[in-house]
Amino acid sequence: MNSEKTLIKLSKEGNKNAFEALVIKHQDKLMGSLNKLFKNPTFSEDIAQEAFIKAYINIGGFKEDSAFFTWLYRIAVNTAKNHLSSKYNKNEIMESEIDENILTHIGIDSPSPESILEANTLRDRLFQCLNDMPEEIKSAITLREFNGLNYEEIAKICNCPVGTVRSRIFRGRQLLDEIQISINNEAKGNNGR
Amino acid sequence: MEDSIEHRLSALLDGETSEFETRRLVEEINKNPEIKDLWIRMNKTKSLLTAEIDFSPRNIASTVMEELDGSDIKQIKFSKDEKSKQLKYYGFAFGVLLSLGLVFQPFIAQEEESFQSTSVIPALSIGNIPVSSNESYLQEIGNNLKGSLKKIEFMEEGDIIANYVENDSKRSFKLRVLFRDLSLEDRIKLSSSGITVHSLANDKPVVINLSSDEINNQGLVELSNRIFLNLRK
Repeated sequence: MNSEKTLIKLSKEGNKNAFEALVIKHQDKLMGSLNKLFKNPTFSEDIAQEAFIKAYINIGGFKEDSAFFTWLYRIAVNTAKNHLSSKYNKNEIMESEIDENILTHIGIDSPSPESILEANTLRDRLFQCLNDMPEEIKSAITLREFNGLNYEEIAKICNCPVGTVRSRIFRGRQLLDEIQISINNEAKGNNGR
Repeated sequence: MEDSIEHRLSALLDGETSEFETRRLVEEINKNPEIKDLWIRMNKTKSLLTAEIDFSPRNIASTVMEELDGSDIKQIKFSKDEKSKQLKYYGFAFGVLLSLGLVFQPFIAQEEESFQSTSVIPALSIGNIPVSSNESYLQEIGNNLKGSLKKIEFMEEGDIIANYVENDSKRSFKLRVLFRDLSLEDRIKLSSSGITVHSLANDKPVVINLSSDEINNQGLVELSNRIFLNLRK
């Protein structure tokens, strides 16, 4: 059983800590996807929150014949449609109808310049860090994050044991995490001034 | 040597931990704020690298969990218990229908001499019933009645309505099995339709109603008595 299936299984048993781990795992992707659709970060965050709560309530009915994220995304889009259709006093708004009129209705509220700058700065530094990594660590991280390969597949490509892949990826993540911590500290320093 | 928590957290992010490891990590994330922060940062790094986000959204996990903890939100139970309870009810209903088959055979034989000339279909026993197809149960019961199951409907709340037509006489009757207490209004409605018996199944109320435009009430009463005598054996 893979990790996500275990988290889902535990959540179905009412384990809120497992569900929180799932929320943390999927929140950015969900909000990112919703924001691409609705172009309004505040609305996307509100919908994502509501979708997670609905997901927790209904997770017993999740049959696992699709990925958890697919199921969650569908809940979120339906939640958004309900919000929008109640505003429009319509029974249903199809996804294709989420057009400029609706965007105007909820208001296009671009992410704040600070938020975009923060994300861009962090991303640039992360990529710089990735480029500077030792080759074997960079390969493992790249194959995992950008090619979506699992540890066993990476091990075959890199001709090394799975345990080594696991360690290399972990080491790469440690280096990336140091970047994030330093940027967070810089931001705190700037805010403190 | 066992990997560090941070090491295993990285594997969790990639979906590469065993069930045992995952359970332990969930506990660790919950009880250790530093580990939770690391889990959040690891996920954010992943999202940024893979361009899942183009801005820096706030962490909504804490708000979601506060909402779940601070209210009386409960998961909808789709548990096996619920399913097995439903199966028990359906089982009971099929038992009723089966008994009907068992009861009807002599009943029809007495009334209709022509049935005597056809080969007697052995009474069904529950052990012989194929579990895979509910409808085939009912079809077979219809055969046993020397009649045909015309229609079966599974209603809300697990109620079942089955219509039968006797092959030779073409008399039809309707069997309803309701697994709930009825409102006064529903009781009055049912009382004007055939005969109704209120009983219990697994300590839960069950109502059986037999109605027919072609079989008189006395016939239906006799039939229902026999059903219950059979059920109580």
